Amino acid sequence: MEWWCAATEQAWDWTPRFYLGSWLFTLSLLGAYALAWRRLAPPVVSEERRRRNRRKITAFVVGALVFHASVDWPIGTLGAGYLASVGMLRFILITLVVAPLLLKGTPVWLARRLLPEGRVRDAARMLARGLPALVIFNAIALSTHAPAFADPLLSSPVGAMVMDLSWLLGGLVLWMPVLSPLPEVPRLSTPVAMAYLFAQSVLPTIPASFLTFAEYPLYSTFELAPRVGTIDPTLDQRNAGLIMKIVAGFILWGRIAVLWFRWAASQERPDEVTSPDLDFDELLDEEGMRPAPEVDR
Amino acid sequence: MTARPLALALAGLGLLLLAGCETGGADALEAGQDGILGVPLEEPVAKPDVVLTDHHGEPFDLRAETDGELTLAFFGYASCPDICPVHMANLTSVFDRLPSTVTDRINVLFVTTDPARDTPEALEVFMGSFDSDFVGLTGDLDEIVDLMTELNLPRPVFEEPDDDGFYEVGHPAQVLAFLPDDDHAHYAYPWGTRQSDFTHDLRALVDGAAAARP
Repeated sequence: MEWWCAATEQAWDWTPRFYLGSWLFTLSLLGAYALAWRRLAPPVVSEERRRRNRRKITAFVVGALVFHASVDWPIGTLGAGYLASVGMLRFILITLVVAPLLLKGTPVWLARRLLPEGRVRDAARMLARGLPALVIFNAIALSTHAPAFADPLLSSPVGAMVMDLSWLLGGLVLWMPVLSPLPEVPRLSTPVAMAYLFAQSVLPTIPASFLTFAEYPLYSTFELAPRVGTIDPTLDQRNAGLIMKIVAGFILWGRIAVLWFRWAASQERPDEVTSPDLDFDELLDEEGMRPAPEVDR
Repeated sequence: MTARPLALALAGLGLLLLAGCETGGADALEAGQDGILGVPLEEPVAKPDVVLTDHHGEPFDLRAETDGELTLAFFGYASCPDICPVHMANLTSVFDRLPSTVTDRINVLFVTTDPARDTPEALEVFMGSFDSDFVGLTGDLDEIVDLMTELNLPRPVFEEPDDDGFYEVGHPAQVLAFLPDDDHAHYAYPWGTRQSDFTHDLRALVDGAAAARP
């Protein structure tokens, strides 16, 4: 039994491995979420509210399960110690799938608890602005993909855990300007949000190019790992670069498309109250609030 | 946050990434005064005079077959789950990158430390995963142990078999490099040597072994 999936130099096989830390993390996350709903959730006053709550819970639970899949056997094991391409897939899953799902699954009343008024919320407000969020996320992405940092981190369970959790944190920061669950931490206006996500789809081109066009394997972790089948580490690294660029781009552009269509629909029906993202609709019902104001920054 | 500190932060991170790409981790080999990354042996060791059996079942006279050519020798075993196949696969990748004018002048020898299992037939299967010019060698265990002793390498350690009868064999993890001009091993490449390190050194040792040698 190990704490977290990390590089071990053991030969790869399909025997399941158990990682105590990843199970504890996921169970704690889901347990705390369930407890919050039981103890803190406002009473449900309409069927519509119930339906939306169910959607939020589904988003959060799916997010937590995808996170667990990313840090547990076999994806976590392969990605942390054997294949750079699977490692990149984990990064994409955690930052571009898990993080937005967790944000979408966080109701306003819970977000207010998690980000209490004062310094914490001020910090969240600052982080949720487009430029700082972009810088912080890319700082995390770049540093955790620099071989000088990635190789030592991946060599220990604690280091690998720090890397995974920093990806999760970075993902939350990245998506806050677009999916903030808190009206006091306003989202970007739809056109700005689209530009923001477009910028984020372009930035990984630089590190992805390093991976795709490098002549030699950049990461000792994957170069010296026992091979999985006949996959060559340079080819594997090339695939990692392509995943970073293409898969991440596909997800971000998909989100841009969703924002575009919703925004276009709202322009066609200006009399209806719509928010840039319909998740904020919950603010329109029993909580008696208006959606968060859009801001142009 | 203003644009200037942000730009500086991004530029710094970019440099960091580039630096990481250059060094490739903390355990990278450092070049000696001769520019060679391999670890110089305190005392160069002569190429042993021994005849083994290659993976085609043919006799292989070590000195005669490799005389005057850069020769890399690695001691491992075909059932090895980790180090041996990785070393050999990495050397295969290095050979794929080097021109044939270089690789034609390099011998890569895989000498088994487990001759009981590594018959020529078993070695042929194992070597089939790597460059076709690499040679697998087997022989009597005593002969191989003597050879390793002559090269100042630790003798193999056989672990207890598991329930399926599989056992692991402890063996040296480094690759020895015999230089072409004196047929002595001058450098060792420990476990962790990167493909880029091998590529760099093989070019240098083939082209200018005498000049490179300390």
